[in-house]
Amino acid sequence: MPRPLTYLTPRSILLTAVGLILLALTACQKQLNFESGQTSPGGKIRLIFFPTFNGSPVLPGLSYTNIAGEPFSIQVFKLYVGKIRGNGNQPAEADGEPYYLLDLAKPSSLQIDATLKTGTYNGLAFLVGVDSARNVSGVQSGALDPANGMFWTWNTGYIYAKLEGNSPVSNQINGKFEYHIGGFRTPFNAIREAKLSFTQPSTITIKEDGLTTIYLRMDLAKWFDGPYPLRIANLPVVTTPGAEAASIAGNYVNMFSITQIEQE
Amino acid sequence: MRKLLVISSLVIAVCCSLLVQSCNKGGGENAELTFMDIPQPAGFPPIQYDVANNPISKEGFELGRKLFYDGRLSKDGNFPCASCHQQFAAFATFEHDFSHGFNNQFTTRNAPGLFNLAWHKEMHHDGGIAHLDLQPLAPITAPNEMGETIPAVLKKIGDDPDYRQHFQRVFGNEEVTTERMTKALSQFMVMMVSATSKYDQVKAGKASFDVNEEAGYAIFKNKCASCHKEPLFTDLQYRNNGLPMHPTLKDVGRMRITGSSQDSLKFKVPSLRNVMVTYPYMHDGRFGDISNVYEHYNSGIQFGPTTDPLLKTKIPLSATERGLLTEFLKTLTDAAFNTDPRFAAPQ
Repeated sequence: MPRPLTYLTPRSILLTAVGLILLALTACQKQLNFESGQTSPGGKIRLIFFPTFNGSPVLPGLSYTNIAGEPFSIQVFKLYVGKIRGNGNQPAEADGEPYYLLDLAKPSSLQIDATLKTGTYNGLAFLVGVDSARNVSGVQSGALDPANGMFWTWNTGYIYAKLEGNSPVSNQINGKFEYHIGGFRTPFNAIREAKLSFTQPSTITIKEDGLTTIYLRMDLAKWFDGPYPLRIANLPVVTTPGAEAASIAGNYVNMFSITQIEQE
Repeated sequence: MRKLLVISSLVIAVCCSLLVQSCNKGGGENAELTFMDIPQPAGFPPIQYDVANNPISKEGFELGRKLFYDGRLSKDGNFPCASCHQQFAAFATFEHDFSHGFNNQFTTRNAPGLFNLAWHKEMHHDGGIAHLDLQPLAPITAPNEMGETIPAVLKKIGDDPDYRQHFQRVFGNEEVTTERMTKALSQFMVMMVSATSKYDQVKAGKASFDVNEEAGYAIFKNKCASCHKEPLFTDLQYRNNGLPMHPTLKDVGRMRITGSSQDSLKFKVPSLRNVMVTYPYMHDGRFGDISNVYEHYNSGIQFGPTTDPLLKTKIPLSATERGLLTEFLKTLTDAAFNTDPRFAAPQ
């Protein structure tokens, strides 16, 4: 009988089998880790955004006047928020979609449901915009799908916020004004973080199986009125990343305030 | 012994199936796909395209190829990707400074050849597109190119049962999304590797340059290779090569993306592979012939604040040198690539 080939000895077969089983287990490791991340105890949080202008609700087509006395109406208002975080001694990022597209024309988009780790928090923070990694790492899906029209195809990057409308002071056709704000490259990075402290009460406790509803006002007057006084008459169109876009982002990041918190 | 063999093969078979199944859950991966690797020609730098995020399969490649040649990606059906990227011109537009787009319009830049894209991190003459997967969205939505919207393309594709079958096979279900469409296109495009020119044969020791080509190669290495770096024949950097700004297009190149005046008039160094079939030259196709390009470097360079320091003394090229250089550049034409049936329109 010829000598059996060495790789067919019982020992090598056993080794191969053990090796393959180990490989199979490690192949799944990543998936298991991912799942375990979602099982930490958490309570539901619901953010409800209210677009307002100096206290009155914003409705498409109605007329408003900015701090410089320029009258205008709003046709489109859309904005990305994401990476929602509870602040406190132990800050935690909320589970759920990383990004949400708020759209004035779609009331259902103004409510965000997510889960936040149980614990006590003294404030809330979220990105207004899209982090730079997601700007450049290929095509995203869900809220960040470029099909949502919040993406520059010729100069890769998300449009973080859009405000479009008409004003008699604009020198454009039909008095149009259009602000498409984005940009992640230095020095014109327009990614901003809104940081809001809880005041009444100054802390909230997220309990497992509880629901915490946070009402947020978005005061669009701040789009024009802020560190960078924006005048429709001087600058009716901003549709590229740049110094203007970054400055306007520095205005609108201040438009959020918490008006009420409910817990059940 | 026979028994042992049977048992051992059973054990290994079970382990293998465990290995395959273990990762199939939820990933939408299809065990029946035939996966492929991007060719890595000898001497090429590491591939930049992230294959882990978009594993390339024969089936995905074929879907990408079908999309690349499908006019439905454009508004009126007349402008597939392939209308501006023609295989026989190394996927540039043959003999056109600007390409034709929707509604009798011209593009505003010369269509670059498409090959070796897996080594590029940024696309377009100005590098404005930060990922190959994002690239197709630009021509699809440009009003003077394919003139379409992304949702409309997805609807047209999704309404076609044949496409739905392709998406099912490649991605595990028949949903047609932006991400899947562009990833399929990338699977096709990253496989378009041009590395079988005479130059490559010479480098591999399978052919030799004739005396003129050899002399041209020496001139190339001396006068051109610092920007048109081997083996890609581009260093993938943005440089101002001294072209005066186009009076009507006023294209500032890289500055359009970065907003920085230091990048004014800088464009991505194009590869010289297949250069003899991709005329006209420059980002706006202003030079119809390679002789115009030589003359530009010899005497036409206009100096400004961002002109590349490497061109400080221009690039003097005698008539003889120009002739020899051309003989060398011809060896960069990859006829096998430009006629490879795998990249041609699907039958």
